[in-house]
Amino acid sequence: MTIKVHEFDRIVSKLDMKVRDSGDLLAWFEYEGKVITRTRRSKKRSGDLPMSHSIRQQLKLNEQQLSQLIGCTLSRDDYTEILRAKGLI
Amino acid sequence: MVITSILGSTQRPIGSAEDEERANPSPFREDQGIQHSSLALPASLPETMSLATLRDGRLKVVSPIEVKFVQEGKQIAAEAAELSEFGFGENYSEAITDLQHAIVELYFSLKGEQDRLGPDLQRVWAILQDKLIERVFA
Repeated sequence: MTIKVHEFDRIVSKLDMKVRDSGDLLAWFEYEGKVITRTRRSKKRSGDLPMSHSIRQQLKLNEQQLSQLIGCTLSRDDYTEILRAKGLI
Repeated sequence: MVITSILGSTQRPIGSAEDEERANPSPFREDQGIQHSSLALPASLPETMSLATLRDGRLKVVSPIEVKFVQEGKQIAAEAAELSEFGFGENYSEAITDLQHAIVELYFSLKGEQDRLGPDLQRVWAILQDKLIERVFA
């Protein structure tokens, strides 16, 4: 499964991830004051992102969950519960 | 030939360069652990390597970082699985350079947030602290 640039940005927005521009675009997910997961993408403007499976792994999601997150059927609260079930929160 | 020092202790005989390397393996050789590729990658290029430098003056690698190479379309990806970090590029050199930059960025990002990291990022931070040291400039 590949992630497109606009899909990555949609994920960042939906999960209210903090971002920083440092050559690449860095994004990290915070919950109750703690930094839980982090990921990054290159600053290309469009198209498929390389290493999509690594981005998915950095977000601690399987392919189905990632697809749901991109497709708007998985919310920030759902993502939080996934992380909690994994013992990351 | 046996060399006896001024203090009278005996040093080991001087052997070949290979003997010396075997007895005192450098932890900083970048070609440690090279395995030849069995995938679509050219046979003469490595599938894995041990990364022993980040090419950033602020950080020194004291324990090599294991890197795996994967071909993604026309690009090469370099993945440091234990850090959940990756780099990519048009060739091996670009992929490694990108990974090195990513690891440096990761180190200082986590350092800045070390008091409020979740369990997984605490694990990554612990690995980074084990593998890297910061150079102190007087």
